[in-house]
Amino acid sequence: MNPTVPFPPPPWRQYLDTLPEAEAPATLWPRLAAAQRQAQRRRRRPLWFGAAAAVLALALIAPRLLPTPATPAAPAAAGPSLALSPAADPGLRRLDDQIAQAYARGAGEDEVAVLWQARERVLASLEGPAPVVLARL
Amino acid sequence: MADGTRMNATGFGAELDDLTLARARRGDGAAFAAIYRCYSRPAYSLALRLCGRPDMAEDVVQEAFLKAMEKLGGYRGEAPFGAWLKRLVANSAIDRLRLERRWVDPEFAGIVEPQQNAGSEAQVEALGLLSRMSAPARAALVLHELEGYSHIELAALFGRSESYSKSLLSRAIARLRGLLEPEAAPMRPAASLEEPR
Repeated sequence: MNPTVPFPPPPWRQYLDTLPEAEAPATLWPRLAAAQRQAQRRRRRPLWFGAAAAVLALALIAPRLLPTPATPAAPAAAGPSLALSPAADPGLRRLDDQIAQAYARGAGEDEVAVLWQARERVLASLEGPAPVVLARL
Repeated sequence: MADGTRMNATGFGAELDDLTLARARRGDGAAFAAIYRCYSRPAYSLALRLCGRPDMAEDVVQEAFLKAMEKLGGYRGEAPFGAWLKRLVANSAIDRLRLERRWVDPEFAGIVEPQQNAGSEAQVEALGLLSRMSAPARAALVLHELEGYSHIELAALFGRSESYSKSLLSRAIARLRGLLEPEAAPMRPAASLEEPR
């Protein structure tokens, strides 16, 4: 027992110790949940703008980063070249890195979804139209 | 436990599991609801005791929970979550009292704290004699005697000296004693209560 606290405790101490707790009003939670959703939307807005800007920038840069299609003169028997593999695309690799980093730092689902959509777009731009070499195969 | 509470824990001492905390950090609404269920009662009780008014206590709890969710990314778990949240509630309450110019010590200012519309019967009971004390006196009593704040912490919270905090608490106890046993502890004259600087 704490030697500084007399026993039995003085009435004021007993009074404080027996103060009942009050239940929060039922109306408080809906109000708080709505305020929290609003705050969340406000916090996410800059993220959305940032992600949209990144996707736009990527869409502009990606075509320049794409490997030039193989010429018709290239030997068909050599099989698909490494440069034509989607995995070798620098834009795609960069996006893969961003997705991995987003997961690693526990980013929100919205942010990750934007990155995946950007990846799908780049992938689609890599896959079609089919290069001449592949068409001949 | 999945909802963030442990069976034998109560009040701000309830522990929050890591999973709920991680989900709340990611903005999961269900995790936020679990945290609210776990801590709303002690948070509201503390806010009500400090503010003395149910409507203000509601605002304080809302503000503290919103701040908690906003700052959750910066919460590193050095202190238990409940203790961290308690600080947010206490700080919000003091800020709100100051904002509404209710942070006045009647011992110095010569005014008496008016009786408030304390709301429902249960809330009046929860507030009890505390409603008849000034906001600083209530805060000193509640935070030091019930919530374990030190005088150094109170001084920082009040923006005053440690000796002010000690003097305020001593007067608050005397006032409460006077309210409980009017004959045993007559109020000291205000003239003897010069504010230490």
